Amino acid sequence: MAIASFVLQMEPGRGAEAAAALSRVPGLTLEFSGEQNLVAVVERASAELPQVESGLKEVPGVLCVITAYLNIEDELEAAGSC
Amino acid sequence: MNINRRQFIKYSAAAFAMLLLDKGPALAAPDQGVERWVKGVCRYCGTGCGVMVGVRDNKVVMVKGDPNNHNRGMLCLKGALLPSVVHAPDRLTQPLIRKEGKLTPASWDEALDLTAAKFKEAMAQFGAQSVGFYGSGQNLTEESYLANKIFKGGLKCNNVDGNPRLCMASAVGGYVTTFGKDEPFGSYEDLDAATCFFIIGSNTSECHPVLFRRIAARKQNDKNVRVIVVDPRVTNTARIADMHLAIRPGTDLALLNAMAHIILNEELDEPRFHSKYAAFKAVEDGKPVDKTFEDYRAFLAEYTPEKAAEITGIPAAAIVKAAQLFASSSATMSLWCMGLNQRVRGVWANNLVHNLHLLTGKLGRPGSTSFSLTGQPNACGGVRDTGSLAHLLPAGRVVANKDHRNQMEALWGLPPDSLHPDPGLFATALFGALGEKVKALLVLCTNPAQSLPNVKKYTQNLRHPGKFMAVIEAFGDAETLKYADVVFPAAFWCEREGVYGCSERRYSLLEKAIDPPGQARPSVNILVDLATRMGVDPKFVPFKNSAEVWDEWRTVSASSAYNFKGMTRERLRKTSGLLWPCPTEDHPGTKIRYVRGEDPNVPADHPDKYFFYGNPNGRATIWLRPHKPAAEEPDAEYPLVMTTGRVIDQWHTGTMTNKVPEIRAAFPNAYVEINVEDAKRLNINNGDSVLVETRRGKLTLPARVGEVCRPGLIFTPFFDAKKLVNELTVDAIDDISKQPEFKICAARIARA
Repeated sequence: MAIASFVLQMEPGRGAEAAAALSRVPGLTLEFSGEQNLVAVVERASAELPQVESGLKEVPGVLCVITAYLNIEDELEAAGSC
Repeated sequence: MNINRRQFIKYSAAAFAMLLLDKGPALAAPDQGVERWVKGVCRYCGTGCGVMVGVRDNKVVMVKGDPNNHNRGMLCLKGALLPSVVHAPDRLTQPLIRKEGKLTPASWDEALDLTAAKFKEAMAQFGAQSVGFYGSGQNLTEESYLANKIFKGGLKCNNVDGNPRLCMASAVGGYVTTFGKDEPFGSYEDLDAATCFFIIGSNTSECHPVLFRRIAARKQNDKNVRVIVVDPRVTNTARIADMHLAIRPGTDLALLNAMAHIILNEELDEPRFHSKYAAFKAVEDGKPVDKTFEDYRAFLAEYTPEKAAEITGIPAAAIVKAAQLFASSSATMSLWCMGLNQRVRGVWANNLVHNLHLLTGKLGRPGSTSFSLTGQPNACGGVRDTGSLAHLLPAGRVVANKDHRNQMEALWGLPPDSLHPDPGLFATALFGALGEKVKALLVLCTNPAQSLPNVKKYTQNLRHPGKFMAVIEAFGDAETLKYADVVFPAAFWCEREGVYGCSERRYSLLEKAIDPPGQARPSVNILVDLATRMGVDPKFVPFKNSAEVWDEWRTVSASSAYNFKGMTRERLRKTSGLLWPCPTEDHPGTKIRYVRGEDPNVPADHPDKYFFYGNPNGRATIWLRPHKPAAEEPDAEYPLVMTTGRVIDQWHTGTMTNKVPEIRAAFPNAYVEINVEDAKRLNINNGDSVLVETRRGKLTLPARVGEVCRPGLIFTPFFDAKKLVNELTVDAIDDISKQPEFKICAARIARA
């Protein structure tokens, strides 16, 4: 599974609404909620990440999505070290 | 904190994102009660990230990225977790002398006097070449410059070498033989402008994560950007690639020559560039001889894609596509690291990457450059630039050149022809001679008992009854201390002030943030005390602190192409680093070398845009270098290739990263990575204990079975002192750079 983190820039005052929508995204953890920014860490198969990123852009109140970090260690799970 | 590796990576991901928001690392509590922030440089890899060190009560409580340095506030998690290293419980706090086999506390005077006496005794009995110094790219620039001056200038001994010999000597050889001067053409800013990245022999994702993030961002932000990765493993770097060429280890010379062949055959070269700015050369009967463009074309004729495919294991069509992408992009940036350098043909491999850039004219414009990545924080500024290797003198001079020696004699106030005319012993030769030709050795801030190749061979010498070894070190558990006769406790990282110079020729000031623990002292002061007690004239080393050493080194640089006279201490204090050349205090630094209007060494009225002033003919050299195999190829007895490297969590020999509880919990042990096909054939399952054997030794390691390694290849990281992987590696060296071939040796494995 790949791990990526995203910074979501928000319309002012819409963080709670976005956070609620994001809580329904499989494999996503919200690491930080600020007034204008959210930080989400996503754990999904690497092939699914572009789709996840597109989905984040559609979340209500999200103005922009920045990929902060990407680690594509699919082999970790297979190696049993997770 | 008890976390596993997966959680560690998730924390890393969160930390990167939080740093983008300037919120500090995710693992740090929101309020650490920081009283003041002090500017510095990360202690780990050669990326040289600027950091801000948060201090409270003379303790480092937090580290975050410097938003004004090249890393723009980003740090990897290792850097953010540095506070645990600074305050590790096993910090050395007093000098130690070995008595009856045990390191025993002693006074500074006892330790200094004993060391000086042993060195003087050796020199009196066996001459100046019976002593030596072994440093590293982890020392401050001032420390390396000073040690080099003491040994080469004060003691007249050129046995000055260090860990960069194991790490980047081939990159030095590549730059010098191609461009006439060491160090990269461009800067990190090229990462933001390149449209094609050619990454060969570098797992940038794990070894230089902040730079990798910049490459990934570039690719994400511009859909036209292409990434080609040449690596026998499917690393995380390879996973963002448009093309991953899973090359057979040790065959990259054939690949690079084939790419040049295709570029010429398909007329993708830039004749206006190479006809004006390049000269062609080959080595015949041991001497360089001039060649023509037609000679080069004829030399390349045999490197057809099909032949290269046979040698490299990469499909011919993929080689063609890679060459086309390289040559047809608007700006290509090559990046490499140990995969090219740690080879018996490391210099040649470096030359052949430069060849591709010279053929296509992809140099000296934003995003077009050939860029060697480095493994340690100050190997470039500290060791390469100060000339702290056995064959070098400061600022690009070499021992074997009489004019260069005379220049340094004048700069150091020594009588003409007083420096020793012969290069000293390089790393493996130095340790190979320990106890025999070399009687006394001073080691500064590095761990050769774990990092040397074929290390058992050299630890025998470390045990030699005829040797004396003093070590200046910060931590009590470094493997090398097992063999030390005297240990001096050193101030670590931000416990003293000095300059670090990273991969892009950037010099940044690491400011003092806290006092060192106990009796630990800055290495500059230890070196001065030792030198004077060894008989070096105090006027030759009149330094009270590193700032005074820096001022001398800055002045010495002014008469060379490195000229950074304009980087005063005060200026470095105010800025977050400057790139040399930087000749005057109002010069902004140099992002692109050899180009008129960019590099102050190229006269403003020079008739040509490019001028390779390091070569007598003013041109860069395209070398005719044939494919040659590795020193130890697999055979019936040892049918696999073993390669070694780093992982993102740990750094080098683990003496620092293993101090961090989060890292120790997440990734404590070495392992052997095996391809599923090989594992199936050998009945090895994931997690099984596996006996890994080479002609030099054997180790039992847990198996990680997957598709990361190509079939026939195994990989082991070398950070784990409990499993000395370098007992298995080969110490065959590159003829030119004397760098060992850590990356390739023959091995066999079986279930233990």
